[in-house]
Amino acid sequence: LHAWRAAAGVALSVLGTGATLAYFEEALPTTLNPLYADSMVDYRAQELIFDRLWYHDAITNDLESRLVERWELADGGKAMRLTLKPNVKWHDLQPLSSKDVCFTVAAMLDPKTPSIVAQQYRSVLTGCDTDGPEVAILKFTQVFHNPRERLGFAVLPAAGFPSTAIAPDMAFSARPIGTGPMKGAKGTRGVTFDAFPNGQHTPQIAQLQLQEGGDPLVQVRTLINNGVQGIIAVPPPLRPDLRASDEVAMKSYDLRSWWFVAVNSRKAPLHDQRVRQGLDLLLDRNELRKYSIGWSPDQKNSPCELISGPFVQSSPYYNRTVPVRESADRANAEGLLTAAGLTQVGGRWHYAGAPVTLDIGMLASLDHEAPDLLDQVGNQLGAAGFDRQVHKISSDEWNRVVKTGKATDYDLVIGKWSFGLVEDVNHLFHTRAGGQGSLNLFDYSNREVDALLEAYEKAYTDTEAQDAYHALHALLAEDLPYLFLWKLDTKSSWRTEVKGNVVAPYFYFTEFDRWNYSSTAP
Amino acid sequence: MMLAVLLACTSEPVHERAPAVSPLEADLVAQTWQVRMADAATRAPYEAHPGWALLFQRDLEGALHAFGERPDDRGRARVHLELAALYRQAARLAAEATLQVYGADRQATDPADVDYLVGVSETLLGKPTQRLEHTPADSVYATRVTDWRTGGWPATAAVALAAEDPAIHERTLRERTPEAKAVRVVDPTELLAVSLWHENEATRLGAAARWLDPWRLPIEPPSTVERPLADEMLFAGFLPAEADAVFVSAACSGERAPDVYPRSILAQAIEPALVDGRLDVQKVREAAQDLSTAMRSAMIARSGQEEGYQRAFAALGQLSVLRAAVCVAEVLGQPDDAGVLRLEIADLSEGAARDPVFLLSLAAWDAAHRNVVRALDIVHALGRDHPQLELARVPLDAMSVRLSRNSAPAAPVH
Repeated sequence: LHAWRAAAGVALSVLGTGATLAYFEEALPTTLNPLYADSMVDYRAQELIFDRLWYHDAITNDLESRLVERWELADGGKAMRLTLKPNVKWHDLQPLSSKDVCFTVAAMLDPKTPSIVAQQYRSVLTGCDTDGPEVAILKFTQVFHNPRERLGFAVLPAAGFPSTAIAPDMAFSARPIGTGPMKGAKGTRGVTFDAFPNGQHTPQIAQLQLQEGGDPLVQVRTLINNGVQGIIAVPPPLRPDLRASDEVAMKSYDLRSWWFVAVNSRKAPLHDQRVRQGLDLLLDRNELRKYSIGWSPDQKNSPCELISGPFVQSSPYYNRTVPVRESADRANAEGLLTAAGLTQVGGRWHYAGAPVTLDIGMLASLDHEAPDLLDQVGNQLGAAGFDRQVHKISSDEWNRVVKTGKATDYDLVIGKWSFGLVEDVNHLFHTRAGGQGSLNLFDYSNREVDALLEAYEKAYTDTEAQDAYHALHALLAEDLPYLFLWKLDTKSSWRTEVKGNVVAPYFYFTEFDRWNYSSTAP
Repeated sequence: MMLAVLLACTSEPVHERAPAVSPLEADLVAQTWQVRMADAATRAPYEAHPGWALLFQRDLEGALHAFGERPDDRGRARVHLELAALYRQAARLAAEATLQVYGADRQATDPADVDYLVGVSETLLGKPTQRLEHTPADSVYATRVTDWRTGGWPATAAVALAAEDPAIHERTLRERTPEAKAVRVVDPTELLAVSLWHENEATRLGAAARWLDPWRLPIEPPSTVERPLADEMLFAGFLPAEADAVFVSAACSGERAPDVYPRSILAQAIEPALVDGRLDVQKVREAAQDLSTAMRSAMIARSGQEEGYQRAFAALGQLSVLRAAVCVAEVLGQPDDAGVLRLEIADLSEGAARDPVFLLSLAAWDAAHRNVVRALDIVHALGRDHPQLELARVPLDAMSVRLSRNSAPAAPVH
């Protein structure tokens, strides 16, 4: 029946109210291809379009699959034989088959697929065979405890690609074909998702429109006026306004996000650890969060919590013996800078006979969450005697240039990283080599850091892994490839006419089939 | 006066809605502490003592201190009840996490003595256990295991510790590897002991044990000694009236029929949401909103005007319905719906509605469902006000590391 509806193109008229739901995202997704998910925006959008092989129920956290009917281990645990559910259709109405599962695995294993997501699965999977259209046999690199937990990848359609070498710039990235509850198409100003009822999905909202959020105040006013029905990330200063309204509801979005200022340690004088430490001491983080996030010292349960290393404070990997730095310590900073060979001439810092000018960049979309942070950082360093130039970096430049380690002109870049349950920071700090350090922004390299990251990777027990990351935290807090800022929690807001809107940790729209919307607008 | 100032600061305009209650229900609404406290004279004693303002802000430690400085036995009893409930949930959290990390996901390298911790956890959670048969090498645990083997309630091992104001201690056990690295552990017995100590204090000061029933551990029977529930046990809380305590106690203990509690506004609110023997979550939401609206209207009628505290009081009433409905959904075999309600309550838990006891119970529920990210966030946030709770997270940390190392690989994203 579902397939017939889709084939006849009448799905929208039989779904719920037929209403369109619009929401503001932090930015437009860079891609709708799950192999190239770069941002949380990408992950959220893709969750509507694709099904992951296994996923966690957003309420019970049960490990479930919308694609797999049954499974069993084979080859002494080094393989898994899975049987697909019947009646699962791609958005082009073709049936899902084991070929698609094995194609996805082959694409991830293909070295010509330059995807960080794929790269990670190469440590888990070695191959996949089909046994008829319904059965796929996944082969693992080793015997894993709870192997289904490691199979959270989105399944791609074999027919959507000419080969297993999948490039990020294919047409598929803008107009993908998935098996998820919504069929998505990316335009220049947004993404439109249309409901696609399927054997495993019964979406109740006919159409969803992702719009790029601009000025946060405008976003909030638009939401209150019912111009859109949701905002994914509401900046902390605007949350009280929304809480006071009976027409919108705040929703928690469980995500481990922390903010940083990455330092170009390849560039003089920042290559000197003492200069990085000096900069760290010059930042008054309380002032930064006060003016950009609206934090105040007497605020109970602040959404913003300072950090001293690459983990949120609630993480088991956070090293609590490393103190956070709240205020500036100008005297000690000047001592460190002077010891590193910097001199002050007319109140400005000079190095090798020339004034030091810091080029500071920030991912532009962060300006919505922490307005003026870029200027505040620039002002603090300026007041301390550094000339500076500030730049907002587009998502495109961030992905193409900054994340690939090519932003060598910048001295400092402000960004944030988000994590789910897995807090693997090896990509961020390992020397770029042999596939390691793929998100190392300024080609930071430190042998001791590399050794600790490898100790974490190879840890035999959990205690060894935790000890390695605690030591890493302490070392990074001293060597400072990043000036660590804070964790900032994320809150969404949706109009109360939107019901059943369970927000899944990290992926957000995992339970989208539950969402419904009765428009009260004329 | 602190409370008066605090309550005045919460002023928001009322969005007019037609009252949604029948005359009978209106009578019940009038009996709620929210509406009775709309009378300035009734509210005056609470506004006169800073302890109540701190309790209203969910600063339990601060409230306990304030009620000690300017002695108020009922105020102290209430805070001890809250703290007893809080540490019961801490014990449950530790037990649930211990069961996951050293039970379901046990590794050969784990210290042998974690068997004792698993045994204690299974016992607290009302599960049969065979893990207490072996005597731990750890001398402290070796002493306690004997008491735990006797089973039953009250748990002798915890009662012994609760005799004096107990503290929670982290211990280290050794991994079974050549390096024999130290593994941090916490015994849920100690968290339970802290809870029992607070309960003893509350009882000594005249509190009714029934208040604690929704927060008891699976091993425990509900209270049997019935004492009247004074207003001090209701004010700023999630039981609108004494009859609601009876209903919630029954519902959270597994009883099915809310319609046998005609004097409970919560039972009356939830009853229409039962459709064909199942709880309709959307109807529960509407019932909760209706009660909130009815309370606000009744408060305005009683006080003669709209006042700052009324919105906050009504919000607590709204949450009372949702919280009671969690128990009803569980009883009716609707764990998924109970989960949805829990998440909605968490989303509404701001300001005076941010109840640490409920939030810690959510963390414990999360731990049972192997969802460590939110559980850790909750415990970490509560640890700022209750430093001893930081130790309850020790098994949760272990669970988080173990789960993350057995998960699908993931890189950071911006």
